[in-house]
Amino acid sequence: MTANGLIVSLMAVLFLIFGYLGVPVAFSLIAGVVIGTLFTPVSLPSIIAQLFNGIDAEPLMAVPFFLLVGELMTSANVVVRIANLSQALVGHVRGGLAQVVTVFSMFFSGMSGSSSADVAVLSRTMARPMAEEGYDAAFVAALIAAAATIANLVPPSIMAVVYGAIGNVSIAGLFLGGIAPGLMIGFGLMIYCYFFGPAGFRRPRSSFGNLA
Amino acid sequence: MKRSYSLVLERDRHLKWRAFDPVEHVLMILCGVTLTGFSTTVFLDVVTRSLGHPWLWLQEVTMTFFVYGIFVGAAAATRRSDHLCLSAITEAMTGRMRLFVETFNRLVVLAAALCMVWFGYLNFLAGFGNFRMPSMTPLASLYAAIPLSGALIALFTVEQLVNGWRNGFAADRRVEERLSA
Repeated sequence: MTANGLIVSLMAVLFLIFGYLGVPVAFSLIAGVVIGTLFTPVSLPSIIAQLFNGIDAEPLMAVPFFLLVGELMTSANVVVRIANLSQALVGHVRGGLAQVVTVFSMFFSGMSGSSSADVAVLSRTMARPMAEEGYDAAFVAALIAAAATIANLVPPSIMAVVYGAIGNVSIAGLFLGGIAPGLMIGFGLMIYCYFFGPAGFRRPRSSFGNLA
Repeated sequence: MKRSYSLVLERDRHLKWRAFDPVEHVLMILCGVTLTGFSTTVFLDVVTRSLGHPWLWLQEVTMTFFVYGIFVGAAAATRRSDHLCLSAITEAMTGRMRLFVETFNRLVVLAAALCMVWFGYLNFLAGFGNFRMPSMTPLASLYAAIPLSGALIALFTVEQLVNGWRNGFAADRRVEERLSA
């Protein structure tokens, strides 16, 4: 391994050590990079200047806008409406709430753009009802974690915005390319829950009037 | 008489001094101002471009709000313990080990914040030689956000360190339950 490779590895290892010890991610990155930079001819002021250069990109402004829209939707009770719609759509299918969680995540991913936001909302709204219906806690956690990954793929994925801004890649192209894989994960999870998941409590099929 | 600040988070109160509550309150207001500021300027930018008479200075104002919003937000998030972190391992610890790891974590944050202060200050000084187009404002006006944010982060980290040593870093379960209820 070259000297540069060793330094990059050192930065990565330090970031992981600090991160797992509980140092906030932003400061783990700064600390890891600053320590690694001490072994290079690069000056430390230029590294700190990268804090500014990294955010001096207009596409990144989409991130707080998505978060703002997410907050507005939460205060408008949209989350409960999505949960009701998901239940009306797939609550009667084998798997019950497991199917509802997956469909809920597919809808909510299209609004939040963040898998952490997805996990937070799904854990708050769906984890308790699932536990009350007898779903295994490990299955619930695994399903929510897996379903939340859809948010990183489908528009408006914050990950796609950041990757596009940093890598100079078309963000619209990334959004377009993420739709099919996102849907595939969603439908894949639904199929898995149908055949291999717990049967769950199946609700009566909703009428078209209920859906509307 | 104690004055209450509506925007101050009561979580982890044992790690906070009431004397710094006004600072958190002001930072939260500034976050709101910057968020409103860049939302408005982006909206005006789109409108003026659509009308065929773009105001070119709007992009500069937008970026100023955005940059200050991020660094002010980073400082506010430090006091509110809102930064993204993997706290499960640390929270599972107790006693001296917990004290040691929590102290180490905050010393890492403090070191990073002091780097932001000193090297950010050097960038700020160098920024007087570079200018933003088209207003020709020195880039130092934006670079100033880094040492300011670093100083606030360092201040809040010292606050957490001192209070953590005095009261312990673990949260009071009764307070947490009352707040979550």
